[in-house]
Amino acid sequence: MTTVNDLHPQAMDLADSAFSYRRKGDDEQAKRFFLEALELERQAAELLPATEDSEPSRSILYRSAASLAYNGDAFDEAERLIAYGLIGFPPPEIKEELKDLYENINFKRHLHQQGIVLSKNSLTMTLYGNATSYGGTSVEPLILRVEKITALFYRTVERLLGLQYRISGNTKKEIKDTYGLYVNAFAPASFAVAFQIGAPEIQPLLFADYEQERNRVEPDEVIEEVMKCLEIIESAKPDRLKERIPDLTYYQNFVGIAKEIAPDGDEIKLVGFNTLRSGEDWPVALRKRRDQIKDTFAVVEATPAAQVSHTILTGILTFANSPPGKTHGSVKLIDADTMLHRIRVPIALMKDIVQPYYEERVIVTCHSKNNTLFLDDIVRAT
Amino acid sequence: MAPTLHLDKIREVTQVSVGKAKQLMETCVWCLLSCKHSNGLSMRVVEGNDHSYLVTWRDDEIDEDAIVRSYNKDDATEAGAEAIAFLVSIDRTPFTAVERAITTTGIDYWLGYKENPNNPFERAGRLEVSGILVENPTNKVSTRVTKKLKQTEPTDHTFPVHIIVVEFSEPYATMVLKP
Repeated sequence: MTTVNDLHPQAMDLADSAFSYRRKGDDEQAKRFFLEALELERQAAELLPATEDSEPSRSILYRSAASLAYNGDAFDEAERLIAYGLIGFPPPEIKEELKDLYENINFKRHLHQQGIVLSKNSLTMTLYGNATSYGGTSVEPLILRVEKITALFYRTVERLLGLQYRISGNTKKEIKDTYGLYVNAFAPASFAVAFQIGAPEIQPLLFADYEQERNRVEPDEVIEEVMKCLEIIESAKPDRLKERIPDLTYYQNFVGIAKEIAPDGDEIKLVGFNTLRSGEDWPVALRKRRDQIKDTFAVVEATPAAQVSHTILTGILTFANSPPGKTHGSVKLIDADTMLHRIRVPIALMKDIVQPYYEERVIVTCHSKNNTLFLDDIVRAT
Repeated sequence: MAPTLHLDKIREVTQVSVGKAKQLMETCVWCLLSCKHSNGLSMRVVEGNDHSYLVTWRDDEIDEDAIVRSYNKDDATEAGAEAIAFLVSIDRTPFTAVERAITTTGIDYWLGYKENPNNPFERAGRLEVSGILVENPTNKVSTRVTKKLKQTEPTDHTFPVHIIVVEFSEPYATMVLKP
């Protein structure tokens, strides 16, 4: 009689090959192997009755089969498999993972069914969570993320062009003219917003005045870079991001902005991005929360932990200074007792992350070293 | 005599295919050769106390030049760490098998038992693996362990989590159980 152990290892080997093809960029072969693996994994899961005795294997196998269907773009099948998994007695962790998978499928399905047609050099951002409803979303979380995507985009252009990190001032006009970022429209009947990159008519000689002419990059390369880095954020691989962004200031800036874009819990549970790569959808679902990104991608200083203490302050941000040529800027914060705290901030976080909170009430997480406060995180106080 | 981690016997504990077992062995050898180690090296495993292991492979199954050409640091470090983690966890826990399952982004690993062919994840624990080719002040095993502990912090924690972080230059591995 066929057992789970006859089918499941074969399915895993096929899935392993599928991921390997995907890493090599052969999506067609990857999909074929995912669907072959799905067939075996589904059969393995179906061998187990929906009883408590079958757990946790039954729900893990259904989660695994549904993930294979998801990876093979078989969304209807993935939904059915999730439902079968939930019908049994899944342990709480697996139940949560099945629900997360269902949200991911919704995101992918949304891209396929809501008629969001991507043109060249464009990407969409879609928000999911309690702050969104069908066809609409609260203004604040959306606008915040539109602003941060804009900052992330222009920082990426500047980095790829080989420009030194811009501590102050706006993005140069020439760059904005060439790599203009346009919000096309809020996609109809959805809570997705589409960005179009590149002015309608790109003038190739705009870079004649730049020493960085040799580093000129195409708009689609910028999108690809942004998507790859967001993918790395989601996969929690700080080393890969450091290899991709060796400049520490740009690295800290990217992580800082990604934290602002990331889901914040129940209000926004998932921030999805999609673009076209070789004519195919390339979705990236960001579900890591800002605190998870902070912990995973923090720049660790070579200071013994015993010499560092941590503090959380709440107050009004009143002052910001970004001295050129320095690694840190500074801000001042007045707390409820009108006590003034001076906090040093990595220069990478000053303009795009901290300064937008000027004269607002914020919660600041800091660490203290040699009686000086250093900023780790900042959020708007509610 | 220190116990031995046989890289050429990964298939016996993991139930992976012949090809996958070979890849795990080769990537681990890639990491060790990159750090100037040779067959039969000694590796420290920290699990509360220090435990010493030998790491071996069959020279006739390894073409060193081909391996050096075939892999890169990114893929090899991750898969090489998995190879060590599988062998160490089977040796140092009551578990008898490494099981795999699929997530949206890749494969997750579990420690289980071979005896029930229809419930391979029965009494299973999650296995979280991470690898560092060469430790430095900003990329330390202790930091990775702390991060892994934080990442596996759901409110409803059903399964024990075994965290293994492997460093190849010394080389050593740290193993932590989060019950």
